[in-house]
Amino acid sequence: MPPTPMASDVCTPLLSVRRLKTVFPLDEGTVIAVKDVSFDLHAGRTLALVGESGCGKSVTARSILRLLDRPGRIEAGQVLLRRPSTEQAGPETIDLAKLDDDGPRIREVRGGEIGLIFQEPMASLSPVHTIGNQLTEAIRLHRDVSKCEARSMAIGLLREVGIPQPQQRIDFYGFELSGGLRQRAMIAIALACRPRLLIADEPTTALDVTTQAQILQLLRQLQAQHEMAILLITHDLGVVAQTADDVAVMYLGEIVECADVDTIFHDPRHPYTRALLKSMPAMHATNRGRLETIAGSVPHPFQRPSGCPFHPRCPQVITGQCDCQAPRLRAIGESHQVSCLLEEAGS
Amino acid sequence: MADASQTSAPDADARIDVSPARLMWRRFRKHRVAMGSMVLLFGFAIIAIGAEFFATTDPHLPEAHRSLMPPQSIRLFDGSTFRPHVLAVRGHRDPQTLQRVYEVDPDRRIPVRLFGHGYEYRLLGLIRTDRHLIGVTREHKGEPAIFLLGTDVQGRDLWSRLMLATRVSMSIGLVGVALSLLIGIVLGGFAGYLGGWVDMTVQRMIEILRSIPTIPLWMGLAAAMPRDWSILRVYLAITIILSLIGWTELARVVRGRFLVLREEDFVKAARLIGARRKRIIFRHMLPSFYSHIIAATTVAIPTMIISETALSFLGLGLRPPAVSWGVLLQQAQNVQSVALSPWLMIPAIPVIIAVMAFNFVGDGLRDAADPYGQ
Amino acid sequence: MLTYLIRRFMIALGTVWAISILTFVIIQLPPGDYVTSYIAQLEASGDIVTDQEAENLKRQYGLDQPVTMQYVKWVSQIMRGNFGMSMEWRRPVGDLIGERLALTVLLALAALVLTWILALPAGIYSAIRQYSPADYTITFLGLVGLAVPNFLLALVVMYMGFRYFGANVGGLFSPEYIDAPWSLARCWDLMKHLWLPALILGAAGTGHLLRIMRANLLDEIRKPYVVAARARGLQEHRVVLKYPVRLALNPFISTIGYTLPVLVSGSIIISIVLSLPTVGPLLLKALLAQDMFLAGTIILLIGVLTVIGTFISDLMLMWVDPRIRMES
Repeated sequence: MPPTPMASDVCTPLLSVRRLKTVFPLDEGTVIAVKDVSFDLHAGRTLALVGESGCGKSVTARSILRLLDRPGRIEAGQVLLRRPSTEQAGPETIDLAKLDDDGPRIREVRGGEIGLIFQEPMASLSPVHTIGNQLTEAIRLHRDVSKCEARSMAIGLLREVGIPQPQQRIDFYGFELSGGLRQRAMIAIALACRPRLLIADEPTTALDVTTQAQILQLLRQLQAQHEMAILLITHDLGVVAQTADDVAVMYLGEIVECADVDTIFHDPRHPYTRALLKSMPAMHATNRGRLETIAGSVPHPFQRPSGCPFHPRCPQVITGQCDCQAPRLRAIGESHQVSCLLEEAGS
Repeated sequence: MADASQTSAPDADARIDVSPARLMWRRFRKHRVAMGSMVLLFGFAIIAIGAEFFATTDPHLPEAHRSLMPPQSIRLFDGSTFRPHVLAVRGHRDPQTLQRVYEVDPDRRIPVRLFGHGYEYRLLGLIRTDRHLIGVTREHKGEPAIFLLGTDVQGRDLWSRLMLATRVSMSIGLVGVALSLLIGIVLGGFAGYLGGWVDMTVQRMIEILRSIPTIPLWMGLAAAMPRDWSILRVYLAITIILSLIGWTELARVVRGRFLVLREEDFVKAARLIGARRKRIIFRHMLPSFYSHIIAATTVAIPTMIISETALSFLGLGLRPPAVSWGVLLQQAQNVQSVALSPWLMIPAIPVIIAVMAFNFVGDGLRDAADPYGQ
Repeated sequence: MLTYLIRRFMIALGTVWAISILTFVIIQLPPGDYVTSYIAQLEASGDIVTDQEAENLKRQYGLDQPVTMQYVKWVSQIMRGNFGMSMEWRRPVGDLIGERLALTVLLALAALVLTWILALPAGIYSAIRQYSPADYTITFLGLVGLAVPNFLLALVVMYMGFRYFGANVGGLFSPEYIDAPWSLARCWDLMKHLWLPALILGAAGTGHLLRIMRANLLDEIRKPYVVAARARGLQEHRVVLKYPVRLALNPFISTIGYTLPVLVSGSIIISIVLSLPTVGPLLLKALLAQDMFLAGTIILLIGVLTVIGTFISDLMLMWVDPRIRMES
């Protein structure tokens, strides 16, 4: 399979994921959570990874940082992180998939070069440590500063993410803050060492709509300030429309369609992408009919369908082909790739 | 994460028309240790039911001239022919130490056989017979011969007494837990379902009872029993004392489940469509937590057994002529006697095995009871 | 925070009250009143008790009054530090149990500390190496500790000590120190004898805490805040120690509340087997001789001490868990 160039971008990507395959060997059988996933992330741009729950979005994100729960492991593929030249060394590319998952090199990357925020800000903050404790910990892991300096840096960070009265709030526990402030604190921790890439795993799902908009606004603003790449994981197409530059749609661990955000919304080619879009309420819809749903349900991971993983639910299934022949992700336009036999037949 | 947890979700199609009990049993069978323990407990139950059949010698018959005899083993071969037998033992008093010493009489062999004859008893309290699992031939009948685990101070056969003790100790555990369960379900159920001041009162009662050291209390209550009570009355009193203090854990479990379930959507739904309270409790709530109750009950049994054993061991529980594991262990109370006749400690083994088995089965049940568990 | 404190304190008071009632019931249960049996016992041993003395005794314990008044009298006597007379020992109960009570507390505390020292690292190790041979071994040993009743364990240890070392492992002091006044040497001697009973006593608790620790840690270790700490670049062992272990400690401390009663209970029974000079053997003797004042006082004091211990553990819990501290 060819690498997936985002044609609009000429400079080399910050992070390239190549044919990533992550599996969970369980007693009952091996679950392939991520299969042959490839994408690129560029500085200053946001890639949204979209799909229903259980499609492998989060596992992809965790594979990048090597934070998989046992017994999950990366079976194949590369996660290439490009580093700019520093005083000590010239530019280099490291394959995160090859690193020891508790070694010093991956730990340098975690928090230092790639930040991570989660869906549940409450659960992501320790209930028995103050915000400041966790924030200064993040700073001092990657910066050689004194406790005192780290604290003033931490206050600055809290101010930057828009937490009022940061001098007092730094000594608060997570459960003492409102949901929005908690997520802001979480962002401050993730961005403590100015990572060049932020992975946001459903960052707004647990928040109410106004807070959601504020947090997304904050992320965009921080991205613009620091030229940061964002990998946004979400199932909410509204969030995608607001924030993403590029979109990759995942189904059962595979990327089925990948394009820039306009193309995805206006010219979706994969039946699954279309179905997803149809199941979203439209702002200016004229008829107040029922929303369409996708027939059937996501198959059990042990019973991965043969051929195209979507064929049992696909309205346009070609019997005799889709159920035995696996489609491949192929470019059908400038920066637009689809994995569907319909497109292969058409081209 | 989401992906990993999904993998454990059961295959929906294959499970649609299986009852919760069947599901639980299916999951339970996967725990090998728990299954093994279950089989062991069945063994204990069979022994408890047919204790006299498994006994070899009259467990209540004292014989001064065979006091503290060491265990004998059954020899399967006589020379090269298969002829199971035990060697007869001669005892005499050592003139210096005045202790009884025993030596094997190699010339006298007493043949033993399965389903041989022994003392007379009523099987299951009904059928009069003298057949035992291991007995002697008819011509040797009446000759107390087989002491698999040796004898106690009074010269009674430890093996046979152990069989009887199994019945008493296991049944105290079961009856005691049944009583605790009754108290626990009533109080815990009311507390959990009604809430409010009932819940407050029950919770405080549980908290208070849990923070009192139980053994001194048990000892105090047990010591207050009149000395002249019959075995049966003492047995009942001990069971009641144990369950009066032991119900708290079960009540806690019941209350907790009720609290959780009360807020479950399916219970709310039942309430909203106007189901009566009785129907909600018995049709909707009980089926969804009886498995947890079973698990908690199983784990509570060993505590009862240990408590009874401890009390009897101290001489405050069941007293001779009643026979329980604790009563048997009374003779092992001081070092000197244990050092001279270590087999007196043997009754500790079934206690430990039973306690572990109940714990394993309880653990297995608890895991199996969780409908969304792996 | 204050409400929490007050609530716990009220519960402690309620418990003490419940214990006093139960104890009083136990004292009252044997047939006949205790002054009569006391006098009978005094006379049996050759003492002459005048009617006047008998009358005084009866009045002192309010035997001419209804049961509730007797209870009040009994409680107020105890509040003044008068625990009554032991019939068997013919000495004030207070004198008899002073040192023994202190040794009981010491034994229970030693067992508690030992339990922690053993269960904490073993539980952590077992959880982070889940399903490894070491985990299975630790889990199995914990189960054995849990399943073997401590008096049986004591029995076996006694037998082993006698059989293989020819030593009597019972007691808390070497013979030369049994009646010696307190000195540094005697304390050292005590320490040398204390660890074994403490270990036996702590076995069940260790097994229990081990399982709790392992289960809690396995629960906590998968929580997002742990992954978040890892995603910050913290080393694995520091992640585990700083976050999940810290949180798993809370239920650990909260279990002191009911480990303590269990330990005190256990200390009674193993003291009897190992003939330790704690209140255990004294209680058994008193109960068998129906010396109800002595028995009742022991039960009461043990109960009250346990309640105090539990209350202290509640305070500790408040100190380590900010969520309780903030609760208003």
